[in-house]
Amino acid sequence: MKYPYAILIFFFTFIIQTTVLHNIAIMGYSPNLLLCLVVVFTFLYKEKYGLILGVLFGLLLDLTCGQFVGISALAFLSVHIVVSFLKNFLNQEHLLPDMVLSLIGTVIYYLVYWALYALMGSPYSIVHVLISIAVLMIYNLLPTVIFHLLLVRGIIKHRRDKQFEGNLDVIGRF
Amino acid sequence: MKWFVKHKAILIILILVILSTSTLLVSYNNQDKPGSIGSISSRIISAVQWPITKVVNLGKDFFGNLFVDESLISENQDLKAKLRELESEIIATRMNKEALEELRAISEVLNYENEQLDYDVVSGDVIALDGSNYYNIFTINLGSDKGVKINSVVVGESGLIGRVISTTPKTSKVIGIIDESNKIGFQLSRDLKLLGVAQGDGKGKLTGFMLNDDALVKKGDILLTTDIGGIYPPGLTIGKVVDIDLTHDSPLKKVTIEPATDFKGIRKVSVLI
Repeated sequence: MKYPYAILIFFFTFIIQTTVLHNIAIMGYSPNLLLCLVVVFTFLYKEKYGLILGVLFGLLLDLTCGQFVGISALAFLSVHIVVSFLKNFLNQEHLLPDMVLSLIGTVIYYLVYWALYALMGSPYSIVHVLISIAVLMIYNLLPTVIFHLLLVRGIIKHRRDKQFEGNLDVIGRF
Repeated sequence: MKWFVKHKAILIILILVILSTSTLLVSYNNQDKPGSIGSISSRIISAVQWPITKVVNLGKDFFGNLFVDESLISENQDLKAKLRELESEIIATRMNKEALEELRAISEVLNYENEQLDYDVVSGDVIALDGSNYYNIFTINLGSDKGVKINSVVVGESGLIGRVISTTPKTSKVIGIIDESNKIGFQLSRDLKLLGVAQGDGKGKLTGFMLNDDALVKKGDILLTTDIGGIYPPGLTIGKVVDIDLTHDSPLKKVTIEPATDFKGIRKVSVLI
């Protein structure tokens, strides 16, 4: 996928997250689509879309909905580093590893976010954040599944055909 | 240098870490000034967010009222507006009575003049709100060109929402009172002499202390702002007392306050300028 398309996907997701999604919040929470996108892009692509666009749109997210600019960017960066490391041991074709990474990514994102925000004087306790993480881990699964199913088709063609040449580079060791 | 060229990924990560950290430090030091890049970016993004938010809100209103009689909706809204008006009148009457008594007492002693503060109000809409996070900071479509300044007070139809933390010409960022580590002075609406101080408790509510340890506060008491602190004008509804804790170590009465505003469902706001 070329960078302009990736940027468009991230931009569209960013707009949806900040304008529409809070209207369908459950228990006051809605899914973090940008986080799901960072996880899926990092998992599926060799290029650094998840890293560069995650940091860029993390900065934009803080600009519109955060008190300090840069916290989301650093949190997305942390998620990218962990997912990049773990994906070497996982099968990219499968949906389940991506879902597991989404759970791990959610925990990392919100813990890093809380830690940095706490350094800046946030009143939120870790207990409250852990409760919100438990809820958000579940909410972030559905967008992750949707993004994975939509994007994996463009990367791994004819997934069921193990003899197809194009898949030999992509299929991970498992 | 060759090592970095060979390990491009690490180089990119390092650059992005430095960029993000320096942006964060600059943002922390200049909390109220977004800078020219921030202002331009906010302007561009809000130009896209605002029409989408408007369409979404229209859709919500349309589908929400699809199976409801419109006359009932408008009657309900009129009654709610009248109730708020009456509540404000009661609060204003009580405060005027207290202020008059205080003024009489002080003027007899010191020849003191009480300055009456008047505020203009501008109304606007919430154009960006990230529901995926536990804090409550959002962007509104009112900026410095409408007279909004840093620390301008933001209110909703139910009560106090928060204050402005940064502005651009067309937009402003607002922080909710439950997110604040700043303290808010409050007084009880039924007895304006009973004062206390509250702040966000990190769980979506506020906790506070009564300044007088034998203050007769009870559950359901409505709390209003005072002019202690200098940010919020007196008389704005903060919320109501939902719990009183007499068992903790401090001799002061600790209260838990449910805010009057539903922070996750805010659409329209007014800013006092």
